[in-house]
Amino acid sequence: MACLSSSRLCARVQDKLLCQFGHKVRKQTVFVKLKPPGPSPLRIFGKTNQRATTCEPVCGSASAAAGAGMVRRLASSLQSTSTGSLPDYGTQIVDPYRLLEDDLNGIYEDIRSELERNTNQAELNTIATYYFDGQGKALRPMVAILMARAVNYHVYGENSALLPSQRQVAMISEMIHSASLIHDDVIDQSDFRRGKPSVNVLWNHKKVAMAGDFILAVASMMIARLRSDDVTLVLSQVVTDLVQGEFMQLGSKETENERFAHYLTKTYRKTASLIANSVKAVALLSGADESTCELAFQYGRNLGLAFQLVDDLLDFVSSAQAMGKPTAADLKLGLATAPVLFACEKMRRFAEPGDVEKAFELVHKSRGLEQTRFLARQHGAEAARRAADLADSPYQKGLLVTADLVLNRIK
Amino acid sequence: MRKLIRICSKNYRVSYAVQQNIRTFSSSRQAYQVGDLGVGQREELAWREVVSEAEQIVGYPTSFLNLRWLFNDEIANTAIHLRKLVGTNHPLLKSAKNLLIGSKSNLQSVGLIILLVSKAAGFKSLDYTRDQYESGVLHAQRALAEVVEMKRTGHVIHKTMVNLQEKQKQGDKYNDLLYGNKIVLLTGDYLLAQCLQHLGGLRNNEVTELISSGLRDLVEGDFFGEHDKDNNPLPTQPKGSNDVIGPYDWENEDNLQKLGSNDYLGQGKDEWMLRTMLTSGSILGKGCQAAMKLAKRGEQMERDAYILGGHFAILWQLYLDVKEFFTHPYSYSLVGAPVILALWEYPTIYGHILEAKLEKKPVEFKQLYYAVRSTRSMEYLSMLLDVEFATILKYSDKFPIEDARLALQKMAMTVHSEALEYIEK
Repeated sequence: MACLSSSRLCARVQDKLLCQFGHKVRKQTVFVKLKPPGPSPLRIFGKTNQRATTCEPVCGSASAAAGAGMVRRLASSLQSTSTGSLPDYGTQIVDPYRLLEDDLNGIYEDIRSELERNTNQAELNTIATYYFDGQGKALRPMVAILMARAVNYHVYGENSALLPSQRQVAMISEMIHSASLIHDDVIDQSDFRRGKPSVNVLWNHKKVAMAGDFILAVASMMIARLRSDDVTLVLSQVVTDLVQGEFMQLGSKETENERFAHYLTKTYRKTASLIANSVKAVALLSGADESTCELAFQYGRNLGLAFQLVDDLLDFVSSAQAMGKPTAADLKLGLATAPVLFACEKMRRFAEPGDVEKAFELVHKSRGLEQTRFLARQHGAEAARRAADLADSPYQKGLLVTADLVLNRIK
Repeated sequence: MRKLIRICSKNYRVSYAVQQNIRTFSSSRQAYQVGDLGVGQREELAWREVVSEAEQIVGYPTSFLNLRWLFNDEIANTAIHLRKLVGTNHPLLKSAKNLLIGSKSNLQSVGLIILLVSKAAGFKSLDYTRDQYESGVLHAQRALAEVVEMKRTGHVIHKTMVNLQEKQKQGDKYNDLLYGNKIVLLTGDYLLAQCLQHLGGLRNNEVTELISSGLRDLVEGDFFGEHDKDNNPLPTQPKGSNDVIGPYDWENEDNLQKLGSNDYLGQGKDEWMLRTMLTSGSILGKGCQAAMKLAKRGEQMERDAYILGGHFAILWQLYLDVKEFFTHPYSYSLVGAPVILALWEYPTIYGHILEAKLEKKPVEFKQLYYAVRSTRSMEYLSMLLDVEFATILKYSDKFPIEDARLALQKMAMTVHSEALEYIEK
């Protein structure tokens, strides 16, 4: 991938010019997605661009890449959810999904065939592959492959390639994620996920629980087949973290002061651990030294924390339609997330009907959202700072952009 | 079936002789008076003696629910959550009780069998330092036995999930049951996650792969064949003789790949064998095989251990099926060996199940019970029991260390003779 074609990079110069122009024209909200719906396209810019040209003839003349970039900038300046861009690292904007198009292409198909290879039972196969339909953001595999390529470049220079085992880790990370989603859905009794009915609505709950175990079992077999003791340990830690995070969510006995620490630990275990340990695993597979592996881990940890903080923020400010799942869901379940915790210096337990709505309103009135945004930004910046230490490469730029994307997503 | 009978009667003589041998070996220890007790109580006493003897051979009690675990944070938490469930009738409570008290019905002794096979196989003591083993079993093998038991337990716990798809049907109980489901899911997940982590700690990826494929097989077993609306397994309609394919040969398939195929459904004994391999044979066999890997006993020994473990599970399942059929004539499993073998001999019996399925009413268990008893199902069963017992003796004889081998054979003998007692009664 040394010979990167220029079309995969959008120049920021053009972007800025058009952005000022667009500001006056556009009033309505523009949605930027990390990944749009649709079966195959793993390129955000291409798709957002489509949107821009269809709904806004004014910039029809703009070149494709620039137009898309404009929408993106616009979104970050208009959106209430925007956390603001990170400091400019003197980079050109790289769309990581496009950069990794070849690597990510077919990753869901590969996961599906891996699962199918391991069962004769049609129904088990259907439930287990239900969330691997290509509708997800594929954030975890993307970050894992991006880090793999960046570290390979860092260690071996320009002519390095992605190892098959590293791509396997990307698949495993998405599988572990899906297995936990399936179990979460049963616990939280959610109705929708990714814009379609969630598994617990469609199938017997016993079968759903089993299907989650099945995905985990197949993922564990894949981990073992990598034949690396260190990677096995690192990835098995993820599963333990996920469960412990889930246990923490079940009940908190902490005092007011400890609640925030409790929340952050829970967030690390439930979200960040998977990202952090899978990027650490690809770094280990690459044969990088200890400090590089630690760098990868810290990048993943901070990125994961930022991701979840933004997720909790979106739970308050985004619409159900844009998210593909109901909003304020955590609040309704009585789970305290960062916006609530920041806002809740003087809140009490839910007791009466209408309390959920009241709390929702209070959070909006308080500085909770703002503080959450600030915290997310800090973690995003820390992730970017770590990635900046890697050797300069398109993939390393991609890591920086990803930190930015995570902060500015609306879905 | 005719052929089976011939093979059986040949093997039976062999096995009978060995049985006599073991009887003399064990009779000296039978100090208590068992004559006045019923079959159930008597077997319980005999069983406890066999187990405690075996436990002495491998060192110490083997259930993972030991003191170390009671000091564990998550388990302590689970206990608190469990207490909240008391009075809600959630099925988890029943299986928690079974797990803690430990009954034969849950194949609680998988760990023990793996340790006995480990000890029976031995290892080259030059390859290991003194602090790596205890009572002839490697610490890694003990950890493995614990992992396998945890894996099974985690899976059994997940099986107690209540289906809450139709919220309104549950009424007031809904919230309690939902809470119970959360605990079920989390506790099971916790155990499975611990398994994976402990496997990582063994630093042997072949073992990790093998044992993980065991969990895959357990899940596959839950989806195998047809199910009623409560997700209880149902037998498949017996096949016409033209469609019958060769017998299911689990001993010679690659056990890392998915086991068997759906083509064995509706094929009497083959359907039962495959289901048994999936639901218990695979994990026990793979546990034994992995123990051989840890002690570097070589490929042949690994294979023998897998086959021995598999046959152990099959014998055990035969015993459980027979016992259930005779002690619960109104609620026995419809995929148990007595029913399946009867269906294979007289496919018309399938009418009982088909009728219930078509008219959406419960199966007439008592009628089916008498229909099964009118076939030669029991005759076949006792032959099958003899064959399995003989095979276990044959394969365990390949393992050199005597005390552990004899303990294994004695366990098999106890199970075998108790199952026969139920049939003959």
